[in-house]
Amino acid sequence: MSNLLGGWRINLLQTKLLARVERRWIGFAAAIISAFGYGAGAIASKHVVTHMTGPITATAFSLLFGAILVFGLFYRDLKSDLKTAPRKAWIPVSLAGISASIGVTFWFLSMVKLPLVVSAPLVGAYPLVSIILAWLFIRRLDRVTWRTIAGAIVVIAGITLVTTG
Amino acid sequence: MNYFDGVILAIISTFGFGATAVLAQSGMQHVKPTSLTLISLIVGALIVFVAAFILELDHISSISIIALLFILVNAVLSYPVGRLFNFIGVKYAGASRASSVIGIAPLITTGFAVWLTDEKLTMTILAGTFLILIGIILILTDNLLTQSDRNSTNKRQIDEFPNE
Repeated sequence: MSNLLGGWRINLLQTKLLARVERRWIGFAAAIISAFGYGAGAIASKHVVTHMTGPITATAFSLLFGAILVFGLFYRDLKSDLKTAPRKAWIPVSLAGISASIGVTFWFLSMVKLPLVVSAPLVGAYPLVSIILAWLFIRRLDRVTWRTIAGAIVVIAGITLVTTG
Repeated sequence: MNYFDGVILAIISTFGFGATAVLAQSGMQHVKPTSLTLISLIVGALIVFVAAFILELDHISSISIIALLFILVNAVLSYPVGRLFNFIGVKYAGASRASSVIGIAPLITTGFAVWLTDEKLTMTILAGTFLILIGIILILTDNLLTQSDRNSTNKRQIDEFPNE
């Protein structure tokens, strides 16, 4: 009987583990695709900002085009979420939009006053801010480990070298 | 003073980017990543257009069609791909891990720049790439089960087999 229960426990742990592994790998794959999107997009934006128009103007039009594209593709999702999601849920959603635009706008503004060797490592350290804020406010949703912190610090050091090299 | 202003602006930017992932994860408990992307873009476009009208009115009024086409390319790559998958990453891997992985975007930019525009690959860039790979491996090989998972698994076992 105890063997049976032991086996059941192992199965439960395995199921949980597999579910966690799948979710995590979906997340990591999406994060890497995202990095490719941002990284490739930056090539086009660098050309525009260097030769054609101001950085904030470029960002404003880019966000507008992005909103139109995403609306065209996924407006049905928004319609269903507006019906089902509680009103309180839209507060962090709107704040995420505000904080992302603060990030982009102030980044461009800082580049006007700072050399890249200073602004790139400062702004590139944002994963550490995410880790600190996740640990402070959403510990229940996102567990922060020393390994994640160490990994983020090493990534930031690497990005600093790549950006300034 | 200008330099110090720049540092303050960069730090505000860092907090803006850092907070986005955490707020996104919080919002995605009830809202799909696609809706979150759309709302964040609408809110962001409104704010940045106001900033552009204040700081770069001459650029807005004189923007060319070619510039708009380049911006459209950037928008396609950065938002339906970059930001949407950023939020999907946050939903499934967590804000702290997804942010760290997405932090490699400058490496991708450098890679494309070397490939497409014949920029030189220096030893510093290679050393940075090596460090990034080590960091990503550290994050990807983090523990698979969180403490709360272990607790809930134990609790379920105790609930279903109280005499064990």
